[in-house]
Amino acid sequence: MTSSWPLANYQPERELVRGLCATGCDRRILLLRGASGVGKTSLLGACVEDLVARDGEIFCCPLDLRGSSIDGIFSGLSSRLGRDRLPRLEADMAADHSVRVSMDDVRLLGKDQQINVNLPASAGPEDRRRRIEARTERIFDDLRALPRPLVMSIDHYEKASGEVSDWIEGSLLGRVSNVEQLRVVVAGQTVPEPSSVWGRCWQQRELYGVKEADDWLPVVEGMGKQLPTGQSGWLAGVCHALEGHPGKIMKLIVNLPDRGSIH
Amino acid sequence: MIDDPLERLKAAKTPEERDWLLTEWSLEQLSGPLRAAVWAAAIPHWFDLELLAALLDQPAAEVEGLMPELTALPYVEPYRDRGHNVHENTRETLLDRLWVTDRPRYRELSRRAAEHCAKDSGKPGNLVEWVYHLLIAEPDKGADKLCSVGSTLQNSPFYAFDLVGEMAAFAHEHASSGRLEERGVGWTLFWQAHLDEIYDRRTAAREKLLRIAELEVADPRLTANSNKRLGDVELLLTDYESARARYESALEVYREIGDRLGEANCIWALGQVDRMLSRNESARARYESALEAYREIGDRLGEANCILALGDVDRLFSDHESARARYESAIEVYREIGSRRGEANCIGALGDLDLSLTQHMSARARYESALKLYHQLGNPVWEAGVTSKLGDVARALGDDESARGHYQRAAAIYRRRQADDALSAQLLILASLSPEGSTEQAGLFEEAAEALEREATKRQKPLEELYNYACLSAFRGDVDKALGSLEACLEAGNVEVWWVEQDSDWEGLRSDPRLIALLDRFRTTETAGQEPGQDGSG
Repeated sequence: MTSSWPLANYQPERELVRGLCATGCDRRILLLRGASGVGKTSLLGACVEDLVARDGEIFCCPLDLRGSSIDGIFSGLSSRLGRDRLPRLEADMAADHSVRVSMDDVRLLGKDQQINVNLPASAGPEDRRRRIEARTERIFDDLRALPRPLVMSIDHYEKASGEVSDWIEGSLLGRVSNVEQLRVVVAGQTVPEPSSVWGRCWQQRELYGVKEADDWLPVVEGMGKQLPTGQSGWLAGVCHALEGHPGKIMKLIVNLPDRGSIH
Repeated sequence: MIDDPLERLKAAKTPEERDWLLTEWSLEQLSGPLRAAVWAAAIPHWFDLELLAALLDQPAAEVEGLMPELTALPYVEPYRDRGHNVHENTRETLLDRLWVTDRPRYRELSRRAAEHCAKDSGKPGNLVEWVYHLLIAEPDKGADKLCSVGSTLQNSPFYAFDLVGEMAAFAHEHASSGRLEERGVGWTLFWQAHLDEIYDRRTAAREKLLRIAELEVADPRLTANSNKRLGDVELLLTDYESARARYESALEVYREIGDRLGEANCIWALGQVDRMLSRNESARARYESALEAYREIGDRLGEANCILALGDVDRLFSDHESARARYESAIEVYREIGSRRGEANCIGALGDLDLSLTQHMSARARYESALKLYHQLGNPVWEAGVTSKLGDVARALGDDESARGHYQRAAAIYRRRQADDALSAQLLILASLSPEGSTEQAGLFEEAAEALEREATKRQKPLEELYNYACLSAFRGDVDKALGSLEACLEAGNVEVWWVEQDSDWEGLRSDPRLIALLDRFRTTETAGQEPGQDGSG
């Protein structure tokens, strides 16, 4: 869902994200797990808006793992924090070179075409792993020197490739306990399996949607919509029928008549 | 609103029916062009104005006016760097419906999407998305591309496992919704299994590869590749006889289709199986045959791997000088082709050779050199292995304190990487260096037991079939448990008699008649087993 829609409830979870910004925060990993459609992306979107509003106190880096690579994550951090704050990473990335993949025999609709994509090159699987490990070391050296906390907000964990999820579980979250400035929120239908290496610095919340009609009333009002008249239990019925799934409930709310359009 | 959707929802009998009713009702509220745009936008994983125009087969200028309304729908969300997407629940509902009610339309929309991705292939993700749409637009060609694009991406110079993973995940969406023909399902499972193996999810890899066999697809390359991969997984799972059967089956198909590299890889792999089963003469013959095949097709890495393996076999036959010559020759080839891992492995093997000949200072220098290379390669587990060997050198030199430091460093790496079997082995060595009956020793035993339990769970095998569990029980003085576990390991083929006989972990039980009888029983049943030094020049 887009964050342009008002968010129903999830106040306790928003508080937990705000708590990540506190100085000396000891639970620096927050895992938010929930089925598709319970509103994880909306929740993270709202939290990111909160965090961005605190620019000057913290850095915030939202990452969407759909179609993402580790190089994409590094680039995302670089563009969000600014190259000057990640000098070691920047020096390392400057040495990259890419190679063109060409796919011939692309005949569609009677036309011949060729697919061309530029991808980073490696000397082998080990070289690729080495490059990622080395780059991770550099980025963590940079992160330790940040003047204020960085909150990484990672969405769609279940869509991460094996390489990215391995990196997040091992290289990223495994180092959070040693880097005071780093705070990480991971949301998804699945989330990383907590490891003893993380120490005690993590917490997890399950999201089940927003099932109370009272939580949706302000959304209906905020959007200037009119509930069906004479049906006091309508919204509660919808919440029950749709098991509190925000995406589905919003499909109905958005098509309610505008307030004042029915007399 | 025309009627009350709540009443429709209450009447729905299944969640799927409810989702469709809700989506249908929501679509009914839209104008015709916007409704058509929603159906089209559901085809790709993400869309922008150009793609939407291509899908609707209209000029972008005409479609542009729909974008604000479309992207404001509650089930349309921004997609990082790529535009927008229909939320996965709604998308799945729409695609399932379209597949059932208007398959030609689905194929036509997919054809347009594939064509657009091919035209606009410089954009991130379009290569993978192109294959995804082709699988529906032209199923056979899509399956061909699933095979060839996956192969290109996972090989030199890219090793782009992330893109292979994304491609397999996208293809799986079609497969799990029943939209793929069997060849497409087979290649989807193959790439998923390939990644499972790379990321150490061996049991999951095996399950998927076995499902390919059940499909009975008439695609010899898929049959050969999946059998070869299944053999690799079974070898890692120490299921040697199954691995051999898979490799032999794959070898036959590779020969039929004239794939010399596939053939050489299978012969080499059969050599590995023989080595694991101590059939060292047979292993040597396989490696020599594979070496010839690799040289014939000019595969230098395969050639170097064979020379290294032949050196290992020479060492097992105590033909030390031949082994040394082979290792040195393999190093040259690895250096020529820039394989630092191969180079490090050879240096480590030379270190092993020196250590077995009590040339301790030379062994130490070799291990330190290998350690440096492994460190540069960024693989901590390989570093841990050679660190532990430095511990062995220090121990052989009587420097227990230095040895303990090496073993502790190796254990710390294994602990961090959750390499539980290797961790348990390090902990047992450390326990053997601790005062007998001390709290320190008890703590090490305890942690080793926990690590082994985790390992058994990961491998989905009984704890008793882990050789290190048998060793731990022997260390702890639990003789019945130790012998019971050793018997299970010997029966499962997880350890060979010659190894137990030279393993110092069993020193305390060496004269126990039950151990002697057990080893005698399995010694006689070993087929063509070769102990080190039993044959050859040594």
